[in-house]
Amino acid sequence: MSASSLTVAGVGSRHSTDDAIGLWLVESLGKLPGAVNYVQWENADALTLVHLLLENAGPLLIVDCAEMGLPGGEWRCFAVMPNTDAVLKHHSRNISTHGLGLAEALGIARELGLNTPVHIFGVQPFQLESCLSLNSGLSKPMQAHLPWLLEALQQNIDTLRKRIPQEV
Amino acid sequence: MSEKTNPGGKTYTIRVDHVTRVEGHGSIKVSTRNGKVEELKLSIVEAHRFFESFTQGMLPHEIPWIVGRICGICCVGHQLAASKAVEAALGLTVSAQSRRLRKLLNESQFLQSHLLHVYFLAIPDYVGVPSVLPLIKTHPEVVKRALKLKHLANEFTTVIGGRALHPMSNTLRGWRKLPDLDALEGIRDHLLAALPDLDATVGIVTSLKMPNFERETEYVSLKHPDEYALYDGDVYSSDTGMTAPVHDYLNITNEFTVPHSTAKWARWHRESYMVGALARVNNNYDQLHPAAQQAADTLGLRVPCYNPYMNNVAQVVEIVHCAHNSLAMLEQVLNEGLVKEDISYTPGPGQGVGGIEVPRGLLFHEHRFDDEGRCCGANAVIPTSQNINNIERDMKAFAPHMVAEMSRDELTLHLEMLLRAYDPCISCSVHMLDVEFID
Repeated sequence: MSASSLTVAGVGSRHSTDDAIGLWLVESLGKLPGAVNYVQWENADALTLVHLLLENAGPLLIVDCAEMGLPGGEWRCFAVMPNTDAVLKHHSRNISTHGLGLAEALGIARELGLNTPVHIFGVQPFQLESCLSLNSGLSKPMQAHLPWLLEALQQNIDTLRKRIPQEV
Repeated sequence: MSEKTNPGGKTYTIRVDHVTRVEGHGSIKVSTRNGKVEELKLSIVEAHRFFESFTQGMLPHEIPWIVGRICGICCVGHQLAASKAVEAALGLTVSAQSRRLRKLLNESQFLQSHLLHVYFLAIPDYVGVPSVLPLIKTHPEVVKRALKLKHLANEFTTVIGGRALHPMSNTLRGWRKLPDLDALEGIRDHLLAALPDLDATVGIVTSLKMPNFERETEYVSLKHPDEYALYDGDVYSSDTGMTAPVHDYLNITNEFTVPHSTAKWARWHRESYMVGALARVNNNYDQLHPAAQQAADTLGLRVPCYNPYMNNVAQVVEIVHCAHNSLAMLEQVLNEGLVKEDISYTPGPGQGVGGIEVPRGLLFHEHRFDDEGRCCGANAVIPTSQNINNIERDMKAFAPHMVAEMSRDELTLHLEMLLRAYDPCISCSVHMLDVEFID
């Protein structure tokens, strides 16, 4: 893959039902042929995410479960702004590695030189329940939404691939 | 150390309260009157987690995986200590191959944990910033190096154990799924390539000024005749120069309770003892890898060292040791290959104890099984509970001396730094502390 190829990264954990939606979607699309680099950043903590973000050379679409206050199964696709100072300022005095998530990882990576376009395809969960099982599976309503979400994600990937050459 | 009175007559209380993170709750309270310390308490108010209770009724092979959940950072250590305890209970043997894989798994976790603590939790104190975030702007290359090394350590654990957090490949008697040899070769190459980054780590920590404070105590760690003891050995005391078997752990830890701590305290041959990197380096310096001994020399760590702040430095020494020792073990594994082994076993009655060094110190597990092979009793004594008593005694020695010389802010910072130097399980949370002064 060239540096300007789009990377689509699934983020999440399979221990908490719909938190794995990004992994499921990217896993499904990754089986299809195409000029997109599909990767799974499964169970990655914030510090690992920073490292992976910095290692990724080109434009990036992160697919993740996102609490957006929407009905379950709804999705939004949006760009991560280059200026992420606000996220880090929130933690300027108090920090524990336990309090860092994707937003903070993106903020730290931006500060450390991440300057390629990053978009997020976020999916509102129906259910987030931790369990001891290695793979809790998606909730039933989320499973029913999979075909629709896959189609939406594919459309966004196609759109981004057309737009990204101008953004890089 | 003599107690000094501040001519200005300082009267105040330092309260560092409510650490509300998953590792637990801790607080420091110091009351001074007329420049003298009247009261100092390190309170641990963690809620009980009942792991010893909910292992009851479980089958032997389920125990190591479930008790690994006690800690997200020391999950490997808990899993291995429990594996050893259950194997001792059932009389199960472990092959040389599986022992080597377990040592690799354990050392990968040492790398993960020590790197996290040194770079992200300890260093900010010594360069005068409240967290690692300001260093992103001032020292971006240092932060990038830290992230790269931490990621490598995570990958190391993943290759050996199946995943970075709560690995599942290790089980009773050996490995359910053997590591891929190509992946092992990749880890070896990446570790080799990272050695200059470890040299740079030594260089950074050499430039940090540790507070000048010493209090000699009893240093307790595993000791093994043939190696720097991290996985196997007997329990050694610097007070007696003698060892005791791991199964004697109740007579070693002598746990007791104090009103201001829900965690039990420990003592052995004197009022308190220290476990962890400094105790291990003090007790087993001669068995460190030569590169680690060289690092200790560069870092100014001479044994025996009685400065608890130097536990940070001892962790860097162990980072170098684990990297080089792991490289040697990886080479052995790659030369000899890996063979699928019989890991079958029959549940039955028994009682056993396992002891292992984890990043924060000595960890004991005991498990008992009834006639049907179901767990009917369990106990775990973790390093932090063994250290708390010693930390408070360090603070009681440190604070009276410094209350006359330091401002409240400086004293608060130094007490937090002292606590963090031990890398307790509440370490991350201590960074979240709000300080309240009551005049």
